[in-house]
Amino acid sequence: MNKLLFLLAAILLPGFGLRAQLLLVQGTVKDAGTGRGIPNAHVDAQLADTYTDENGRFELELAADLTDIRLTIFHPDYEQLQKTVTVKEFEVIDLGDILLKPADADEEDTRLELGTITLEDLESQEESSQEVSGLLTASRDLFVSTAAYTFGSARFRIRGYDSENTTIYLNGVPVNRLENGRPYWSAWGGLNDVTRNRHTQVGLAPMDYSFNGIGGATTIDTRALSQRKQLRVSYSSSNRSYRNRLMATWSSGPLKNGWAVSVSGSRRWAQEGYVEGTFYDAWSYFLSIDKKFGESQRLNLTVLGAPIRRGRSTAAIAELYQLTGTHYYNSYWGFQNGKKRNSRVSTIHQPIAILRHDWNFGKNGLLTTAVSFQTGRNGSTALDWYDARDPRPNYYRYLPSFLDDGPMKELVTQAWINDQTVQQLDWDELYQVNYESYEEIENANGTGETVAGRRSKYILEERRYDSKELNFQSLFQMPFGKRLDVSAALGYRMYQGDNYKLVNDLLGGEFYVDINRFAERDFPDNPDAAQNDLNNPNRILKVGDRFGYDYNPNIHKAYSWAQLVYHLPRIDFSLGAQVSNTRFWREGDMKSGLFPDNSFGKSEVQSFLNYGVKGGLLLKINNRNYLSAYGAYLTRAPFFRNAYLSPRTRDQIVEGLSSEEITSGELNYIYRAPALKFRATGFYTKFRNGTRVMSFFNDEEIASDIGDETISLGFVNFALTKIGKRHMGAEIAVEWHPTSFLELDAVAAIGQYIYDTRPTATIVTDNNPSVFVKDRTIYLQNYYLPGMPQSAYTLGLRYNSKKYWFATFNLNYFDGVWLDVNPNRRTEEAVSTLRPGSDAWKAILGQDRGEPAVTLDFFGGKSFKFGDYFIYLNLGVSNILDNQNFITGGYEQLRFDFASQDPGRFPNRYYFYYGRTYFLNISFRM
Amino acid sequence: MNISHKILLSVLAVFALAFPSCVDLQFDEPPAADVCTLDATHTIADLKAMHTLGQTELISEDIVIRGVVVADDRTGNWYRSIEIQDETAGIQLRFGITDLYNNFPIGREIWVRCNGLELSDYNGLIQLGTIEEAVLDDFICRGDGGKDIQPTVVSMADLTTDMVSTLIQLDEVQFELADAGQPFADPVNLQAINRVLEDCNSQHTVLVRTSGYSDFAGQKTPVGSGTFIGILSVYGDEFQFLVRDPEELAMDNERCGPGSGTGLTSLQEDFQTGVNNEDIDFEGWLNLAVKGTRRWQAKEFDNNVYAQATAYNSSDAENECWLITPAIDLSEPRTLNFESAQAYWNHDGLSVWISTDFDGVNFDDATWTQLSCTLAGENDPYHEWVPSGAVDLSGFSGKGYIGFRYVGDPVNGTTSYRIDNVNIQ
Repeated sequence: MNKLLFLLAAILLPGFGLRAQLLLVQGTVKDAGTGRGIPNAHVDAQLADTYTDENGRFELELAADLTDIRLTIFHPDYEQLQKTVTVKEFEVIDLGDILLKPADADEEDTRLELGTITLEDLESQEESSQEVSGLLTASRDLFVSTAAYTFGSARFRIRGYDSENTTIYLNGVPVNRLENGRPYWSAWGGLNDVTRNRHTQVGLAPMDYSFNGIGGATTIDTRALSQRKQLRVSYSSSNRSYRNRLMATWSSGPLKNGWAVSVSGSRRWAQEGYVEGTFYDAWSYFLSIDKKFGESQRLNLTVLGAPIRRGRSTAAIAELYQLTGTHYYNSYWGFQNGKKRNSRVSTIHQPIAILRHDWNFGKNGLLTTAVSFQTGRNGSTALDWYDARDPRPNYYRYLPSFLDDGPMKELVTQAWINDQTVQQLDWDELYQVNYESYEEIENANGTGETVAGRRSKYILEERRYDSKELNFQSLFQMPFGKRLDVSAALGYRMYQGDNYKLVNDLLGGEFYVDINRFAERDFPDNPDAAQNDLNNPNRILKVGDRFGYDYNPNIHKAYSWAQLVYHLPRIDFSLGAQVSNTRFWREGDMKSGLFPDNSFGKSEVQSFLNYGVKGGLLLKINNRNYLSAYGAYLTRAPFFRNAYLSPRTRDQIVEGLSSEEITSGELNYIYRAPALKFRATGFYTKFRNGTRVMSFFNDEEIASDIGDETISLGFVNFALTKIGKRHMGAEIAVEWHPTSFLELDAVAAIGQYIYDTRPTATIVTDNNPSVFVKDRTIYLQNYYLPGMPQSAYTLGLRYNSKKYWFATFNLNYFDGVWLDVNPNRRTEEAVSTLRPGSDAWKAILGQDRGEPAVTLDFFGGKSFKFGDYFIYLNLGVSNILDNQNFITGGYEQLRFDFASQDPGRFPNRYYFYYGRTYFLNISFRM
Repeated sequence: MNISHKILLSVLAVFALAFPSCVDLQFDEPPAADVCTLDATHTIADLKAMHTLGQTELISEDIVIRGVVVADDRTGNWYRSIEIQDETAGIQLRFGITDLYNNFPIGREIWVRCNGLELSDYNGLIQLGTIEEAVLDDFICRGDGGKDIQPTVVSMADLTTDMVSTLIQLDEVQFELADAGQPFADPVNLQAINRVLEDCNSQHTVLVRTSGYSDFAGQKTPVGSGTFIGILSVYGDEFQFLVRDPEELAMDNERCGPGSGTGLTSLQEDFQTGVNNEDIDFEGWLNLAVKGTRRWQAKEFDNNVYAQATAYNSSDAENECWLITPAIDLSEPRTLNFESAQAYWNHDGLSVWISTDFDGVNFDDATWTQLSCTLAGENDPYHEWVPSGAVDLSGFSGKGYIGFRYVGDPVNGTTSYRIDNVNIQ
């Protein structure tokens, strides 16, 4: 009791009791090989931490009542160093030069590549894929690195958050896309050598470079001066997305006259990756130039890009993987002239250039100003067809399950099992059909002339999500006196997208016509309805021509934030606030025949004013025990992506569009002893008033019914508003070093992420002006958030040999992978006439989940030194037990047959964790 | 240049050399598919002979038939089916899939491996199927296209069951007056419609059935007479034809039958062959409901049959119906006589008109001139026949049609009108 009072007094009355004087610890962290200073190394004295400056220098203030200071110095390029300093008197302790040995850089690389998965976007309209790679890496926090490497490949997400809740900075500018808030990791894929300088923080604790979202932030520093001087060449072999990787990096280190240069490039490729029919063909390039002006100013220019072209894969239904005998059945490819060709090819190249200026002013002030420009293409191909049969082999009407029992069903089943040409696309056949097609198009191009020839029945279209983005941010960081740290920023972001589709390949035909085949059928009396663009009716299309839809999202965002951290010997207080204005509008480049009045030209501008506050405190109970609590409340403008009901065809806004509200709190306890570290966190977050627009392609030959309405063919859009979500859970990490060469880890992430409101749905389609459903209540409350394990556990064992090798085993357990639900099945209409509690009722309302899964991973490496050269050998093997039944996600199809009320008519689709995969890397460095 | 630069350059050179050939993404356009040929083991007639009506036979022998596609689903009048024929017969092939014309257009020679397929019939129409997408190439071998089959020219009287599912040509036929110039089917409600085709040289008729889903459902049937081409089908005991494409119908000659040519030189109609309480349906006569649904009906009283129109108890807001004679030759001066009567008078609803530019079908396009004559009126006793007096038609020339027009409504225009003994000399 006395102890507690004493503690309280110590906290509340500065100067009481301990008469806490301050102790200054300083030193310079240097490369043991070259003797050069190491910038951005993390220096952690348990009660306080800091980062080294560009010369490797650091200063740390500590309460003076310490006798021993345990310092941990970490930089991703170097081996971690622990150092104990005994305090003799209260004064400035200068540790002089602290030398770090270059680390085996490749372990992280290996783990990163094995932890990378490619998310195939479900049925949503965006065909671009998103690589989620090492989401939060190079952190010395065991929980964070485990979440990134060990859990990442199972689609684990920290606290169940979507990626828009975490801000990623590249050399000082935020790079989350304004359109949907998500970072596109693939933009710097293959540049692992130069993006290793990162710092990640999870959760709500204050950061001096970001008023982060509730998920935290990651900052990546790729500047030439931050790269260690080296020439590094590596070759990797893997059996995941790609088979081979070559990577080379050269960094000059500081040159004369304040210059520094770093270049890097890589090539990743596979004729076929883990999944059949998926090729991978990626390059990357990087150039960074630094120039120092005197001691206080520094200018950096970085240009990087990663052109990636790859073949995609599908999520499969149970029937298909039973017929084909593999959980990795991919319907997207087929044979053309005997060669495998994938119909869904993403081609992404969105290079970014960043110019950054750093100005050290006063004693410790820093003003960082950065401007970035990003542009490029992001597209994915798909088949389109007109007056022809669905070419996709897995179209549900072609499957045995669609057929009545009988001899023909048996023959079809046998064909599916035994004949690969039945399982896959038949490109040759598509060409044959186009070769034989002949049509005369009257009033072609609206000019009255007639064009005749091979009108393609099948084409390959490319759906494009191109964009240009300009970012500006100025960041001010400065301590005032000994106790107050202030940081503040001002930023402006501009985004212009270009969303359209174009003819990629006529597949042997001579032309295609810009006609809306669905409207042509649904509105036979309105000749205009079939025109996608009234300004260019009956347009004859050749390869490269835009068609279908064409619009530009325009988004502008201005923001500003400020943050204060007030340090007392036993307690830190932090407080921050943010304000922002987001404006966006749609600009249509086509005048749709169905929506002549609201498809062409600039729409009304939507404007949102948002704010956020956060604060918290950190209790430094003693040098082993820490307690912290943080809270935040913020509002967030809806993303453009979720603001328009059917942005492809018109500028109709989701009714009642408003900002989302987010409330979050967390409590952390940290214990740090020399051989044992422990962290436990509890968090609770509520999302309110969320908006989401989901689209799916309705390709029924006969329009399917939704309630009493008949939904027309083509894209169907669901807009959900008033979505509420609740994320709560705990994170626990234990790290134990029983000896200097052995490390035992245990990590648990236990979560419950659910919907906790009943959203409202509106349903419209791209091909019909009527609103099919309005204000329908979706009974979504208490359904689980999908697509990730809600809980994940690992036990890790690591052996570090003095003879320059290491080996790690991780035994992992995942649970709580729920499938994405179809909102329209959680309605009164979907279960009407069914008795509550009956099997049919449960089948519609139940939420499917994957079985809990166990996986085992191995990482190991060895380094060799030959004079000034190093050779590193690393091997990672993921899922050693080759568990191919681990469902990592999936979704209920958004189509539902209201007539039969049978959810099995359009069965669930699943993604499976890759079986045993490896990543082998050999690198050479000097 | 120091050592590291040399290494860098050599590494870059290795990269540059090693990369371009890594991933092969070049795809040549495939050549046109090989033409398949098989030896037919059976004729289509042989195969059809294996079927017993009303039964389903699963074929378990290695039977191969050959045929040329004579009907496909391009215009939508066939759905999930095509018709093939050889020298002996034709048969319908059934599929579980659509857009078959992209693979099996009219004129393509194909071979069907029948082992595993079922023979069945739909109300007498023998079908072979049902072939699904996954096994398409297992059952069908595709030969050359462009082998257009010439239709068999027969007369309606000579149609036989053997000709079902083959391409047939009928010469000198026309759609019945009530079905001429009418839509082939109902594209709005997607309903199939049967239209009657009549032979100019006999009393035979045959149905022409068109799907509401066909592209030409909304197109009008030809008005004139001439050559009809279609696939013979059967429904129960009755033959019916399906049109492949209305472009194939060469039916723009003058209509045949009563009123054809220059028109009738005389006409005498006492309506005695009419059936009591049924709409008048006499050869050559048109009985049109222009407003509402009511038409002229045959009525019998005291062994006399006559034509009557009334709006009494009508469920329509308004009624207008016309009874139009066959075409009359007006190159000579003609005279019209008839009798009229009324009952329950509350309005004047009857009038008599003539048109000399009516084509016999398209009522709305014609110009009609009212004729003056004596009609039963308010002051005549109910049901008393009133002679029209001789109506002089000499002021008109060419080909003329006389129209008896009744207008009324169920509230204030319920008078019944009758006409009888129409006589033109």
